[in-house]
Formats: sequence, structure tokens, C-alpha cells
Amino acid sequence: MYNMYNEMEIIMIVFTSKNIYDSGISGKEFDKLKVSSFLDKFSNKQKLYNLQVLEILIML
Amino acid sequence: MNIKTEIDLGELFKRIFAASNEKPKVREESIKIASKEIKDSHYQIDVSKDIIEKNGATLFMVSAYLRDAYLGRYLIKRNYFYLPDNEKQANNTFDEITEKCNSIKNKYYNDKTNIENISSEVTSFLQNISSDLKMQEDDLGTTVKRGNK
Repeated sequence: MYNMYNEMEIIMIVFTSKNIYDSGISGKEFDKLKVSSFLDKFSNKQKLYNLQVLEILIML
Repeated sequence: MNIKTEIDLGELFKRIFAASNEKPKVREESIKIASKEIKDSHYQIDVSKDIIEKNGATLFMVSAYLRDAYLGRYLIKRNYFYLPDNEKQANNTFDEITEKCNSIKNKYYNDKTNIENISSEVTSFLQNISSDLKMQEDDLGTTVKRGNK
């Protein structure tokens, strides 16, 4: 199970909030901020068993 | 999304929250390719390895941004993400991008490629780099605020 991650494509669906767009930051710092926002959402979720569930939860 | 197999995402959680044994290092390098024909014109490729941390979750982000330094616009922006226990691969990707960008720079300076080809050559090798996670952007057309106006 563990090694399957090397064979799969796991996709972060990053839904950028308006606050980030309005931050005035651009370039790489902008992307870092978006991923940081993703990790913030990710850290609040329970153990999941289906990537599509993850995708839906991140959208919420 | 093409993934149909059910997987244990709990493992992914564990890996994203896994503490690294060693203190990870940020790496940065800028490669400038000065135009041989247009004064003050050059391409700049900013390659970096950053650590993104939030609420105990960590990811490595290896970036390659190609800028037209004369106009200041980005021609290529690519980010590759690696889990905390895969820092070695993040470092390998950083080294690979740096090495290939320097190779393209040398090709241009040695008249083995044209300035028009630089962007496509960088795009070409970046497409073949693999990462642990890929970021898929939302496709909402949101206006980016610029300045205080």
C-alpha cells in the first residue's frame, strides 16, 4: 500500500481563496501561499480512503 | 482524475505529517542567459527548493520560473511537490533542473541553439520531471489585485 504512491499521480486540488488573490503577492510566494492554504485544509481532515473523497473535501 | 484504485490515504497523512530527522535546507539558484544580440536583455531561470509548513504538515516545493528579465514577465512557472520523507528526490530534482538549465545556457553561448528555442527547450525537459504530488489549479477567473488601486 505504502509504495503505491510512487506509481500513482496524486493531485492537490488547490482552490485559491479571494484573500490570497487580494494579498498582492505574486510569483513563487503566491504559489507557496496557495499550497500553505491547501496544507491547512488537509491537516483538518480525518483519515480518508478514496482520493475522490479527498478531492470533494478539499473543495468544501 | 484517472485513479480508480482505492488506497489508504492514512499513509499519505502520516507521510505529510512525518517529522524529518534532519533540518531541511532551502536551496536557491538563478541562471541568467544574456542575449547576445539585444542589449540589457536576458532570460532568468529561478530554481529553488522551499519548505512549506502549516499546522505540522510539510511539503517540499521545487520551483522553476523562467522570466524574460527585460520585460519582467514569467514565461514558465512550474512547481514540483515532494513529501517530507522524500527530500532526497526533491534535491535530485533541484540538481537536475539546475544542470539542464546551465546546459541550455551553454548551448546558446556556443551557438548550438537560438534564443527562440530556450523557452521550448526548458519546457520540454520540465515536462518529464516527476513529483509526489501535483497541484491542480482552480479554474476560476479571478482578478488579481495589483497595488492599492
